[in-house]
Amino acid sequence: MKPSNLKHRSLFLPKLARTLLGFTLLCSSFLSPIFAQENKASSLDEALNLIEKFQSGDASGEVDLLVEKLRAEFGRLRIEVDHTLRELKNANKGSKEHQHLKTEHGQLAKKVHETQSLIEWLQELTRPPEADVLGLESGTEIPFKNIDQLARWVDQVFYRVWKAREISPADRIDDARYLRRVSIDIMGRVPSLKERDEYFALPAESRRQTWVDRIVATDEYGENFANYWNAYLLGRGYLPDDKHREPFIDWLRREFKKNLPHSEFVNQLIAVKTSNTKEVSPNAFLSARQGNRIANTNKISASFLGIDISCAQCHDDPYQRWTQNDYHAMVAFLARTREKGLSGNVYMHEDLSRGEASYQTPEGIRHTVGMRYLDGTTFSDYELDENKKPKVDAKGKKIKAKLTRREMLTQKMASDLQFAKAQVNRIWAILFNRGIVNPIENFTPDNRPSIPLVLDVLAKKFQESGFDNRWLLRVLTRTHAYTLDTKKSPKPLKGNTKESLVFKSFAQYQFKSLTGEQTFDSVVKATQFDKTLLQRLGDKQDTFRSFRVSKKVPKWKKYVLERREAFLRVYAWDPEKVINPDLGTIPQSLTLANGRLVAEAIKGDKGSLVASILDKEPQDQVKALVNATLVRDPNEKEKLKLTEYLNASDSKQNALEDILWSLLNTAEFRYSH
Amino acid sequence: MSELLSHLPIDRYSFTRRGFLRYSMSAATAVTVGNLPVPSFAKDLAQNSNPKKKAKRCIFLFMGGGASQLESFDCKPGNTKIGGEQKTIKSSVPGLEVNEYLPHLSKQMHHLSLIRSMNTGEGNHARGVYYMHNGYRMNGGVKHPAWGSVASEQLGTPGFALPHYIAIDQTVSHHLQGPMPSAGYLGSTHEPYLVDEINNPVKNLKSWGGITNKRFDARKSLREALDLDLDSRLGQGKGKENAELYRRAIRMMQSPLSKAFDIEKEDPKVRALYGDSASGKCMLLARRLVESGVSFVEVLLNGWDTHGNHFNGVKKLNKALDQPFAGLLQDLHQRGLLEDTLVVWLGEFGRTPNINKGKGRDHWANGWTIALGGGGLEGGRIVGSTNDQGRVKDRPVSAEDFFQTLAAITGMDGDRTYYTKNDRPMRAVAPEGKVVHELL
Repeated sequence: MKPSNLKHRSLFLPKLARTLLGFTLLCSSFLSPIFAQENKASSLDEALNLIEKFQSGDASGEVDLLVEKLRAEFGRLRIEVDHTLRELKNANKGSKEHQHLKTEHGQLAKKVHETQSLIEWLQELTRPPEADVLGLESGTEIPFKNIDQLARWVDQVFYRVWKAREISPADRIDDARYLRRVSIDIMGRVPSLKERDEYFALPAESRRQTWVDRIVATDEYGENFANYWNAYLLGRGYLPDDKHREPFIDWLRREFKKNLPHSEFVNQLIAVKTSNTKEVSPNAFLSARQGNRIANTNKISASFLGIDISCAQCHDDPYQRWTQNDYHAMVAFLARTREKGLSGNVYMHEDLSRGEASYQTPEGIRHTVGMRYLDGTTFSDYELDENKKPKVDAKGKKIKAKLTRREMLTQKMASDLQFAKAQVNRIWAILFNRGIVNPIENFTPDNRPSIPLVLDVLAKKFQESGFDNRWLLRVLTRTHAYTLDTKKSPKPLKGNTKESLVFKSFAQYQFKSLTGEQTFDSVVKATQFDKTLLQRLGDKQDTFRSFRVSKKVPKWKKYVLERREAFLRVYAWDPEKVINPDLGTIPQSLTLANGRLVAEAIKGDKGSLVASILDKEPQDQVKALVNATLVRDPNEKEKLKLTEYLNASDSKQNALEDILWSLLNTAEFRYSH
Repeated sequence: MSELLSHLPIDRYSFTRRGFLRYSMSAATAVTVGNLPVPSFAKDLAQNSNPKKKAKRCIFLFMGGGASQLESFDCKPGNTKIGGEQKTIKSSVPGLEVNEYLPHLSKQMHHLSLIRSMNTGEGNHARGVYYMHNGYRMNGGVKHPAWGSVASEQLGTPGFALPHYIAIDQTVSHHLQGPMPSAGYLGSTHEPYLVDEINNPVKNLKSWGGITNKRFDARKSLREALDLDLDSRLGQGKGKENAELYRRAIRMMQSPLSKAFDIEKEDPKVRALYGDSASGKCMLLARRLVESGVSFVEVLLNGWDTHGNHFNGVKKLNKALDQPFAGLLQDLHQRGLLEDTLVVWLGEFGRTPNINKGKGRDHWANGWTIALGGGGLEGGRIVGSTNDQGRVKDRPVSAEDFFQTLAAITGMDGDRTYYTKNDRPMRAVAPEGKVVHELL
């Protein structure tokens, strides 16, 4: 936090001072033991000093220090609370000791809560001030009727943020670069020459919006996101005997084409029951970790809530709020789920009527826990009455709950705003190569969102939209931030020139490398290799990528599948990061430079790009080649260099192939920018 | 090997004494070299200035799934409760007995030392794989570099034609049950180069379908020209990075050092040492690569996760490991390479002393064994021990201690500080690690 940012808080300093006084009182009451330990002269004086410093605009360091102290205390308190709780459970109900422990536990729990709010409040101080400047608090009704209005509202927030942080945003990109960027993000490939023409034929004022609305409805949107989730949920490894994978990708493709709501998507991954062996079970997600409930709990909370609770598996996590008990209460949702292998390599997960989650504390004490969601809500296997007692039927038997344990979990998650936040943040990160909370699986008290207001509001609106991923993509690709250049603003920067702050504030677009699938599909589309194959191997009915797992795979598709697999193996070694700003590896370069795909695709065979432009004038050939690969028009220098190369060559076809090879091997092709 | 010198971008490499030493020593120790054009003063330097021998290369043999300490190097034949049903045999180290299915290796045990008291506490595959590769516990936030990547950064010679870190994955039906090693915040230069098919170890070194050198050069310069002003147009320096990556890829294509991948060229007598198996080929390739100057080679042998039918499983696994491992030690020794090549045998953890209902052993991180040798270490030493319940009895060694020890053996700097993408300083080895001096 730069002191300069704090100056913008002058608007609400009186309010701040008031709150700080409140804080002072707080300190003197329940926190005094903390300060007494660390520093005897503290509480009131310290807080008053802080107010003064705030007014002079230089208190951020102090706040950080205080937060650190508090956090250490917070960790200690949490552990103490948990210990008291354990003792409480072991004590005889009604005994004096039990009474005593109960009071103690209550007091401690209150302290924990208060410390936590104090930490959050202090962090609020050092947080960028956009909400206050706008006069909006998270959760206020945002006046918008359609996605364009919502996007403009997001822009307004960004303008204030950039201004407050003294950042000049980068320039905006032109229509050609927007086309390439958005096509890769949504369809997973560069646009074809035909699509490029269609795009430029659209009226300029609504060209980008119309294009996005069109491509989010294509099957290829589904393919692209199926590829993403496949890599993310099952891991990047690509194995020939990976029995789950093909049927799982197939299911993903089908569902994304139907635009399955995100909540229902997650519900099916975790809770759907399949017993029909012909149906592909989305539970392959759970099987990917051999149905291990610990591993699945970690993956579920990280993937769909953006929260990494894995540390609390073995002990209370002193840095976050989770206790070991919290952790295993989450595991309890999966405690009655068992993996069962059926014939035909299909796995199903069945729900048993027994099974509890239990764990051993570091001290060696074993505990059994019931279901409890991270926000503290408890669940029961029975229908409950108003007094939270199980309902009984006429015979006095407890009535079983209608939902299975894992259904209770998915329903609860969908109603939690954190669930929507995690997904908005993920889609944001796919588009911008960086989450508003970054890394995306790390929502913690000390890893605050860089633009919290935008995340909060978008999450609410995403919830209201019925968890519509296409809607979300349409909003985000309409924002100003999405159209920024990768190059620094040409304007001289006044205040903050620190690169990390610029990227954190999304004031400059960050390069991102294409994934294996995106690279493969872009090479095929740019070279028109799909057309070549269709002509060579026949079969015109299907579109290029929508191959299905079936016994009757057409010849040309099989051919593509084989190429694709060999190609993806090279990318599979890539660290499992699905979003990767780094450049590829040597094997990846070698694959593009020497591999079979590019070698065959650039050839001037019938139907190929090279064949289709063989008879054209050199300048038109150059234009077509650059349009097809980099989407933009060639610049003067390139025109000169490339036409010269064409004219100097003995074989026109060879020269065209060479140029196409070179274009496919440039950084400009291998990245989205 | 003269290639090694001719391809050095001498101008780019600061000609410090230490730097020169690194060149001349890696060249001087390779056996295949005939008359090296190493200047005589460099030879003098190499001989005089570093009296204490340090390993300059490392081979990791990683038993993915977790190999059993009780059926390898920490057998308890008399113990009816945990000892299991397999016998032990005498080894070349007096008093040390090893599993009966390691007959070849038993004759090479004088090259190896053992740490029998690994105490790592990570009994989950993914977390164990991560911990035993990176020396840090997996925490979800920071992605730490694998030790091979750190070795690549510290031991690798800039401008060397092959990748500094090569991982050979023999996996056919098994998969490393954890995150594949990666360079983390050290960046793409130090990413492991994967060999995933031992019979086709390096792919795409030649252009598919074949084109003339002249045409390839023409393409190459066209590509460079097209990317040349990318950084001034789009910013962020990716054009420059891509150029460097292609330089390295092309250097590898054109370098005679790439012949190291061609194991078929090896003398049949030497091949016989390793036996004719997939794991034998992997180990042979590892030797050929370190001989060519690669800093770190990792051989991943997966499938040791024997929860059921453990004893039959281990019998097969040990047989597959035995001759290749013994052959590797013998071959390295015969070539004089063992002196400065550290060989480490490990997994993500060991296996439980208790035998479960399915005659299997489960995950065990509270008393398991790592074997290491070469790299100037005196063989035959045993550090730590386990009690009759299979738990660590004395001298517990953590992963941090272990990596700190590797740093000491290889002369790497465990305290060297790197920065994560968010500018957080991280040491090469977690500072709480303490060197296991008994091994040195």
